Amino acid sequence: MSNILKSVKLDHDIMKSRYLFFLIDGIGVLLAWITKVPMFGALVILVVSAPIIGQYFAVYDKNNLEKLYGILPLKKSEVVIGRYLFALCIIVINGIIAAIVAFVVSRLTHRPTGLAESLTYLSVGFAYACFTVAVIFPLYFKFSYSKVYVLSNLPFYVIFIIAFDLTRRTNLLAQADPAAQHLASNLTLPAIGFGLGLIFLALSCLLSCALVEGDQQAGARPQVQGTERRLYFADNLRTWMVILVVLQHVALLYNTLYLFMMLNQAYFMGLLFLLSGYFTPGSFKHKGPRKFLTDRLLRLGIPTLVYVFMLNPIASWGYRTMHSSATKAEVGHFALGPMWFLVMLLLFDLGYLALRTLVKNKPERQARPDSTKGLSFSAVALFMLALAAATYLLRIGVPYGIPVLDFPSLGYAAQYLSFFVIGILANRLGRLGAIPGSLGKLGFVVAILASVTLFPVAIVGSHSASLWIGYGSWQSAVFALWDAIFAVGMSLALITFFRRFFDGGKRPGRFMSGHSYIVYVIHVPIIILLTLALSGLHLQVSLKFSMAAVIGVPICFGIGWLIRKIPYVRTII
Amino acid sequence: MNMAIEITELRKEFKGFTLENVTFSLPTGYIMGFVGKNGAGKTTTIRLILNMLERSGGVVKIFGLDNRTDEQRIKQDTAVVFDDIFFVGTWSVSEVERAVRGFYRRWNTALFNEYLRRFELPADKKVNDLSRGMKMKLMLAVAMSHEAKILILDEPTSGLDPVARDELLDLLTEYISDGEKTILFSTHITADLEKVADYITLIDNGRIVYTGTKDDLLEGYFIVKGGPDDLSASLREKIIGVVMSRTGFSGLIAASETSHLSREYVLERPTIDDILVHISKAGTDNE
Repeated sequence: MSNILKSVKLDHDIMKSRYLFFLIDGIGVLLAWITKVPMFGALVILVVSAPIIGQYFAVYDKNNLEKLYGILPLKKSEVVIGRYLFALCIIVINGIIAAIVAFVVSRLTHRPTGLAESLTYLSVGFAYACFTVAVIFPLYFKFSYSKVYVLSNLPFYVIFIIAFDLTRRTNLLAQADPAAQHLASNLTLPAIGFGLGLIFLALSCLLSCALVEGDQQAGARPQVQGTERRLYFADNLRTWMVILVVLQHVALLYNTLYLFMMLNQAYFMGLLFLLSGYFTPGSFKHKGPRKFLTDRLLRLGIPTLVYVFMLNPIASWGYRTMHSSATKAEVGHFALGPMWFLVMLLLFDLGYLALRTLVKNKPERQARPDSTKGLSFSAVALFMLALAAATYLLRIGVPYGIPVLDFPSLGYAAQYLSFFVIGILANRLGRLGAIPGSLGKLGFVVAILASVTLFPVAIVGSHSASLWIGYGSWQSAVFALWDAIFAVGMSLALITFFRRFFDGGKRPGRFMSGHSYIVYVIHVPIIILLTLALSGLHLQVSLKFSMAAVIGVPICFGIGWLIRKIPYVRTII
Repeated sequence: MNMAIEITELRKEFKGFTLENVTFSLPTGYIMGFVGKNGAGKTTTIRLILNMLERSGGVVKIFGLDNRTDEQRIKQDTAVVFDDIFFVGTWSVSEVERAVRGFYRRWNTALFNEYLRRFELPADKKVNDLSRGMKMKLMLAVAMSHEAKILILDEPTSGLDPVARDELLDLLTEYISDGEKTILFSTHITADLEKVADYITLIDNGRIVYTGTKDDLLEGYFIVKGGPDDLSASLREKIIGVVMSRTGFSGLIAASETSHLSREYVLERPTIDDILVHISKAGTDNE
């Protein structure tokens, strides 16, 4: 933190000679006075924050400050975060100036403005200024200021002038519908405006960090030649995915948190397939084809049989006890339940085995140990588009959310198969540990952007509730595109995040990763019995969900630990 | 021997230029001259050492630490002087100190002021108003005031008059006298290095052509000269960077190859400049 503050102070030192540019706030003062609408002046003052901040980059370019930052003991991300905080300070200072100007002008012109209305205008100005900075800063970090200044700023001024002209003759809020006026009066609208502004800056900051860091993280961890270092982050990530599966099923039982479930659904099983694919070549290499086949049949087949014939009857009994209206068709005695994953994985593994047998067991080509070439964003973007297209086509016949033969999410089959193959390729190319950290941040930003644009378009754009799930509709295409971008973006983000922060092989982590597989197999009857036990409590559904989640996850691991104490269980699961 | 800088197979690819497998090391307590013509790859190598550029491959270690994963620790112990000033032109000399001192744990204001006095740098003078030599001295004052263990100089003497260059070389000799500091001195003005360098690394067209002690370099080669008709095909193969003129030829030859030469050839001790010129010539001839 202290380095970030030092970075902010350095930005202030660099900017000192250009603080005179605050005088362009005078345009806002003049406008407020001429139009007699103080809030228009305030808006202009906030909007001109961007060119004031832009002066920093002008000084930077002119004085070779790239070299200064190159020698200082600062991380590139600290410089970027510092720059954004500095920009936020300038916007806030301009916001204060705008508020003072609006107050003084409204007093002098005898046109008082209410607090809620003032705050709403200020929050709109704040959000617009932050949005401008959020768009232009990554360009300034990537290119020379003098090259991109005009093109990057011009659209924002044009949009502002047009919007200003459209609204200047009328009180915007008075024309707004009653719902908006209500939101403004109880300060919800200002809160949204200020919050949006901060979110724009935060997302842009992540993007800029990704741009300036480039491939710094890729291959940063040295590997001892001749040894294969255990990827603890992959184990920990798999554990987290299994915990998400448990939480998903708890939410499903309580019929709550739909958005959480949809977002999870979009990537978490795909990521599990990717991780499984990643470890498949190693297992094949160590065991050979025959033992690999036996091992897969035992490790995937036996838990499936145990679940179908022992655990599912318990789960279905519990579910029917809770929901007396549930029919046998909904909850059969013998069903695959979450074991569909194991069955599908077994099919993929058999496909891999067949392929390796066809190519006569040629050893996997490994990447050069010194290879630092990371995955490029263009390759990722191409994959996103291809996956979206494949998913869209698949969902013409197998729509989203429609179970087929006990497989509840076959509409994601394209994602599952492609992620499994990517896992194998990542192992071959040594790429899982070498994905640039910047790509993870970029993936996260893209996933969020897709979620605030494509996701609502697909859902809200559907006149009929079923349009976005498939059947070749344009809404389904948009949803498939969101699905693909979100899945790939979140997977990249989580892989790099876990590699950065959870790559230790500490005991609790090792315990949990050692028991994540058994938790996956046994969790359904446990959480059903738990929700049955909690059904007598008269609490809000969200509270019940939280209780079941907090109690259920440790219980699953505890029971898993006990079961693994049984002789021979450990060799299977 | 403790190594201050170890560079192994460092690569950087640009459009039209590649820094290829640069490998050299510099022991603690010595000065290394990093020599090459303009555009040979000196500044690129230095920027890669400072992690200002993203490398395509290889390893850079400073005092055994990786220059990417331990960048901040390394930069606390590293001082850099570039060929041109990198402070805001409107800052005064004292404002420069105020801007950078907070970043260094061992910043010594008294030492900085001592350097200002010694270099006759007025604290209130704006950076823009300083002469070329004064700007270099200001960068040196900043570089030497945080007790850095490695000083990296990238073409600091280009554009300086001979007196200022001589002052700088004296200062470097003094700076390194405690045996704990190390200097990597990049230049294309090789006369500076004859005086102060212990080690020399020659770079040409993105490739290292020599790295080792200065004495080995100077003793390892001769300039061979002969008449216009004396250059046989077998001799031409042994000579690096043959230069033909109306009066004869000259070129660089390894000392080990000179024992077979007849007396009609003239052998002279080369300067680093001679070596650089002939190696560059050989590189150009081969392209």
